[in-house]
Amino acid sequence: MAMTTFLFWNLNKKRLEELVASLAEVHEVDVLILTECEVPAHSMLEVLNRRAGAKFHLTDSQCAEIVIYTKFSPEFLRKKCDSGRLTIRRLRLPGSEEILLAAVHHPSKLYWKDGSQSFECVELSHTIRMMEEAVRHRRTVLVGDFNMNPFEEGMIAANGLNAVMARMIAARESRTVQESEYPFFYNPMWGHFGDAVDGPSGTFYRGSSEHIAYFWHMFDQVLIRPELLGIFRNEDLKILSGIEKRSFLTSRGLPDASVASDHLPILFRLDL
Amino acid sequence: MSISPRNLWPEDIAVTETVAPAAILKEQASLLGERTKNLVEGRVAPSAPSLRGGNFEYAFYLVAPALDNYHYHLFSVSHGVEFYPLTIQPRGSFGLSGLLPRGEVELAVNNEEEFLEELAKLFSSDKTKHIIASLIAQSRAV
Repeated sequence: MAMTTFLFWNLNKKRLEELVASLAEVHEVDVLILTECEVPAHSMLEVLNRRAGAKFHLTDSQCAEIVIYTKFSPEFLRKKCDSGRLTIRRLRLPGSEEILLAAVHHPSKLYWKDGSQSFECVELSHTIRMMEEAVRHRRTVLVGDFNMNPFEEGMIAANGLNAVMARMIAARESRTVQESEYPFFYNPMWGHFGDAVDGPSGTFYRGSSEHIAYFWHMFDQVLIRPELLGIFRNEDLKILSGIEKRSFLTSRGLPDASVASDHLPILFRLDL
Repeated sequence: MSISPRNLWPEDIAVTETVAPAAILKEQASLLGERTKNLVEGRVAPSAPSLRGGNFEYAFYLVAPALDNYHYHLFSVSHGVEFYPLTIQPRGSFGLSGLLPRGEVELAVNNEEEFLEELAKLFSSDKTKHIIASLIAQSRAV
């Protein structure tokens, strides 16, 4: 058993390879999952591997929206299912039980209605369950930029992602609606809302002059199947707001797209 | 005295020449295997009942048996009890291929003829050909 560190970041189509490499080094990242990444692979690899000892690899995929680099050989992260915005991989490190690693980038609310996003969650959930049946286990982690908050219908609906805010509920493993059984995800991002906890109040900020405005959003999330709760500790999940002396936030504490991305990265560890 | 029930249903009620969209998809899925010597096959899977309510949904996958049954979700279709109009939802970056009007996430087709036309466009798009070529090359390398 060993701690494996995952970093997910929406780069907002910016050349942030230096910041990504710093994060990877400081946090000893093993699996780097990027979306809206327009950094050419050769540039990213060059910067990631500039430091002695770092040996990142680009993993193969047909998914255009998600790029994954690993510090271990790509043969340990084999592709299982892709679409334009989703990739599902089998991660099997030597001496560890296999997990499914799924990463997604859902369409933005700028282009899709809330209802369409929820329908997409139903489709996503179905695809994940189909792949879980294919590999005969449900040790699955789903990470990504959902462009949805944890409380939205597609995230919580039973036939959507069925992602609940409490371990105790997720530990029941599944719930039944109209005679159909749906497996839970645990969504630890609920615990990072607001300013009563350390770190930023969300991963994305958008102010608005209309009546309904949340300001902070938790679009970037990691969801964990109950089967993996034993290898995940909540304190091993962080929303990162900077690296070393460089802050990703403005003086008002909001994501600073002029320095980094309009999304903040999330870091989590699993004791694989 | 028993009265034999009168059957009000017309005798030709079950006679139909209509082809279900799922049958069209399954036929095309099987034909892909012929084209690629089964290195890449098609698979049609019914999707979960969605929030759309009452719709029938099917996902079309490219499957590479030699690559641990790797699946690539190419597109989905959904329709009501009546087959048409039917919608095709190309997955992800297919929206960039010019198949869909800008800002649209799905394509509506009104009849079987249009459905076949749009399927042909999808199957012969550069993106589809690229993915299939890549899967064939990888399968041969295993």
